[in-house]
Amino acid sequence: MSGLNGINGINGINGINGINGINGINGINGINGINGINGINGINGINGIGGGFPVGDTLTAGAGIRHAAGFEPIDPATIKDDDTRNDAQMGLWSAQVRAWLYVTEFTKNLSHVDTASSLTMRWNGKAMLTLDRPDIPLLCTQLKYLFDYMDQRPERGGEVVGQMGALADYYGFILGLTPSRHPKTTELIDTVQNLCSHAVMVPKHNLCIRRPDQLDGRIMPMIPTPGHGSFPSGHATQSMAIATILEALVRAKPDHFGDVEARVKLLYKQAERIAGNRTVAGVHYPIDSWAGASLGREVARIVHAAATAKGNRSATLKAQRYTPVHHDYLMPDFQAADQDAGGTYKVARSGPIAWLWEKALAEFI
Amino acid sequence: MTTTSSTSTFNDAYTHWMMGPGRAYDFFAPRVGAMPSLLSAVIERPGGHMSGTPTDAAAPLVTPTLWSGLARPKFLPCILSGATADTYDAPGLETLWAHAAQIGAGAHSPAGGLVPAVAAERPRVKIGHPVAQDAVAAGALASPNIAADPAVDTSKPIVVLGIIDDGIAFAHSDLLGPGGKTRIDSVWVQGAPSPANPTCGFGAEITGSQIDALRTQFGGDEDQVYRAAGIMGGGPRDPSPLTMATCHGAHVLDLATGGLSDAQVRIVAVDLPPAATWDTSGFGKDMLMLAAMHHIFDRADRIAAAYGVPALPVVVNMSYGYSGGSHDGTAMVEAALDELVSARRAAAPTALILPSGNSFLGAGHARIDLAAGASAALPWRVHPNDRTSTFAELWLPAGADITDLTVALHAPGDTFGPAGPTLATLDLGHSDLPPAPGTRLSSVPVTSRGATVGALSADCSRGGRWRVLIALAPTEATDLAVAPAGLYTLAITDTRASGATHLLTAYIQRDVSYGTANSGARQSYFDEPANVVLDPDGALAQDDTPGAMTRRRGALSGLATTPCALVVGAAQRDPLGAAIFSGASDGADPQQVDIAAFVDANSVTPGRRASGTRSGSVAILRGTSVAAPLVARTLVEQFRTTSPADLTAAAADNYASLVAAAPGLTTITLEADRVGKGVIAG
Repeated sequence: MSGLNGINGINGINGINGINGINGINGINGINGINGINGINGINGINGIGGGFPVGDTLTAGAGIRHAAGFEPIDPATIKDDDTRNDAQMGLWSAQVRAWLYVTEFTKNLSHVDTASSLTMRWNGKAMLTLDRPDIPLLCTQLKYLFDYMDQRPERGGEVVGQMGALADYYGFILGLTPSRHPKTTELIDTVQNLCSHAVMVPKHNLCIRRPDQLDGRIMPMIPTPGHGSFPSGHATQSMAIATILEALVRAKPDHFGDVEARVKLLYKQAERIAGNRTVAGVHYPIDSWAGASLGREVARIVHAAATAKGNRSATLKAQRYTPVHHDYLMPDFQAADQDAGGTYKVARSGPIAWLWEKALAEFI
Repeated sequence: MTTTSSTSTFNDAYTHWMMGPGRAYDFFAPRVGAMPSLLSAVIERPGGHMSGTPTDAAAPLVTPTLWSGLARPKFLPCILSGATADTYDAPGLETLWAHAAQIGAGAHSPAGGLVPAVAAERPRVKIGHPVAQDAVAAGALASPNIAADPAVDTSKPIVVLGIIDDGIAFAHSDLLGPGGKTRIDSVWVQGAPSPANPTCGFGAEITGSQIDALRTQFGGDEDQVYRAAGIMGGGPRDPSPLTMATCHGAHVLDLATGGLSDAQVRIVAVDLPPAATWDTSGFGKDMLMLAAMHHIFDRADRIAAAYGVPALPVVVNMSYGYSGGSHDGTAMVEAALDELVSARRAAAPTALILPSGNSFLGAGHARIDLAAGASAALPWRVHPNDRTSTFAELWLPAGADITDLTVALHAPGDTFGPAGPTLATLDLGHSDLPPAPGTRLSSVPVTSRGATVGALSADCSRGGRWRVLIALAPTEATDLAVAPAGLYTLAITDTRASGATHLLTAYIQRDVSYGTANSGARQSYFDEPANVVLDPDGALAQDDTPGAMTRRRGALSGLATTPCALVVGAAQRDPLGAAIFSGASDGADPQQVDIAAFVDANSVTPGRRASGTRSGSVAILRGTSVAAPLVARTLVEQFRTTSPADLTAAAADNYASLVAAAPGLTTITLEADRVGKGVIAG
């Protein structure tokens, strides 16, 4: 924490990353999904046909030519319904509408119960994840890690600011995603991130944990402290959820990449780094990342189950529990930890989510 | 209490970690292709080796070109071969070690090779960085074609400038002489594949006429020149610094001699392998540096022969260093450089210029005055996400015994709270295995979460002083156990009932990600609350805090204590003073900073402009590495204008006075410990 390393001023080359500052505008609005889903690829742009309302010239053009179609009523027998099998009409809607539908599909099953010391998130009425509330002595102990990571602020500034918005870019380059070839995979990433935003606000609100800089004035974060509770970390939730769903995607097409294992390793390494960047920045304790990763992994498991459950047969998932203890957030430790809470919960198929999954899957040969 | 220390295959604590428990981390982990089977090494025999090129198929030994002026060098740079890809494990190492010892003892003495051993002479072998298999010459060495440049006037002084660096941008237009011919007579690229008719024991040599031909062939396209020379691209090798816009070697070359356009200054350059400069343990480059010096002296003799003149004055600039070391001039590489330079001074003026180091403010040096029975606790901060091993050295004073101390490493505790659990204790006074000087080291593992993540080792240096090396595994690693990050505590207790106070010194080893490495190295530091970092004005404090163990003075480069070296610091123009990073010795150190050069303009525009990698580009670099070649440039000029008799006398202070006598010296009396005799003009 001494800042002695500041003498390596030559590293100022990182200033180039300041270009990411443009994203900072989004950042203040937080991780709200609606902006996020549009953020990367301008998916709306592809649907350019709906992009405007040219009320002037089309009005007069319509009036001028309408007579040529005659004046008979339309015959209902000639009208064909749009295809709604397997929620195929999803493809007719704008990306923004689909985003709202995914949220509805997800949140309609989500509920919670809380006590003074824990919060249990439920899926379809059954316990899905229990998060135990960290006490203040543990939070104070965790401050150690914020000081440990503080020396990395100069070099990680670009990432910290760049990750204030959508995260798809940080995974896209691991899987070679492009807007032209992978629009639905990108939408899947944005969707998972968006669902996490909704899910994580529940424990953040109910457990109501103070941010590191609200415990210790020496933290002085690199970025404005977000306007919600510290525990769990939204970035850890999202980054772990994205890594988990993308692992499921690439494993579902095991022949697409020759180096699946290496790419999967990178997905989780990126999840660790994105969460870690929030500790470097001074806005999260490592236990926030543990709790967030626990939640994000369940969100991704639910999305995957809702997308792949067959017909009326629900998928059964194991309920999880995270009880915070003093530790750093390192991916091998998280992956090795047993968080089985004992119970199970069932996830039924969701048509809209399954539609998105199938479309994304089709982008990988 | 009995510690569970054990002896090691090696007698050097760094080697023990890097080749033993720490082998899976860092540089010996395969980066590209298979594990190397060749190790660089320096073998010391007090009775001396026979000179020549004692390459012998029976003995697993390859030597680079040795300078013929040293009849029986005590220090032999060589490559130990015979290890196979899987013999870095302990049994294979035992074999390799025994073999090396036999070579030193003359057991494999071949005709024309090594002289038989002096009875009871015990060779000392120091293993270093691996060497790529395809870099080693397959057959007998040819003579290099060093041609006379017609622009040279043999009736006037000729000086050879030797540059040992990484990223030797030999195609650069700044190095051309009159008529557009390069002034470089030889570049030895140590990491390049050995060519068909090799002139060096390993790597490839490119002569001046070849450089001119390549520049002509490719119309000055320097990318193509380096590709054709086999340095950039073309195979599974470490990325050359020449691929980057800015590199150390190009900058240093420009500062030392760029734009001189004077054929009387001949250049011999040695390009160190990229990976050798990435090394953060400080143990890897010894052989490469020593071989580079032999090469420069050999080629200087060949240049003299090409012009039909006696031995030429040589100025060698080696802008390297590390922060560990005994700091008393007795390290093997220091003694080896000293032997070589001292011998050459008998033939012609010969200077070795080294930077004083950039660690002044790095909080990597501590001095602990420990009375009998007393204890000290030194807080040591190790970063998260450190992907290389971390080392700290604790040196005992001459005459102190390792059994006088116990050294314990405590795990990181809470930031401002007490230390965590004890991870390892070295207590050789109560051990069943106390080592004796000259024997193999004793070591205890550092254990965290059930895995070995470090070692506390005691070894006795070549100079007869005890050292405790604390080696820690990286704090981030893939599929390997990691050391915890945070604030460690090094607890040292003097267990004697009585006796004089021991002056202990601690040095954290250089640990930075350098050049093209992307090694993920992070420099740890002593995070001692008593050390006041900022002065009352808010600037980084340049004075040591009374009562604090952490010291700025004494954080001299561990190489800069070489007795024959001219040690160069860096200065700032406005306000006039030492550059804030510029290393200085403790008053007790035998070697002091000799002279300085301006590197920082002022506190907000650090660094010095010089050439980037390609012709016409400009880069700003900072450090005493930048100051050293500026002094080399001045010394080359002084060598050309000073009478031979005066030059011979000037060797007494390694030419410090001669450099100081050049016009325009600025003295800074109050900071003589950091800038020596003053700051040279320019």
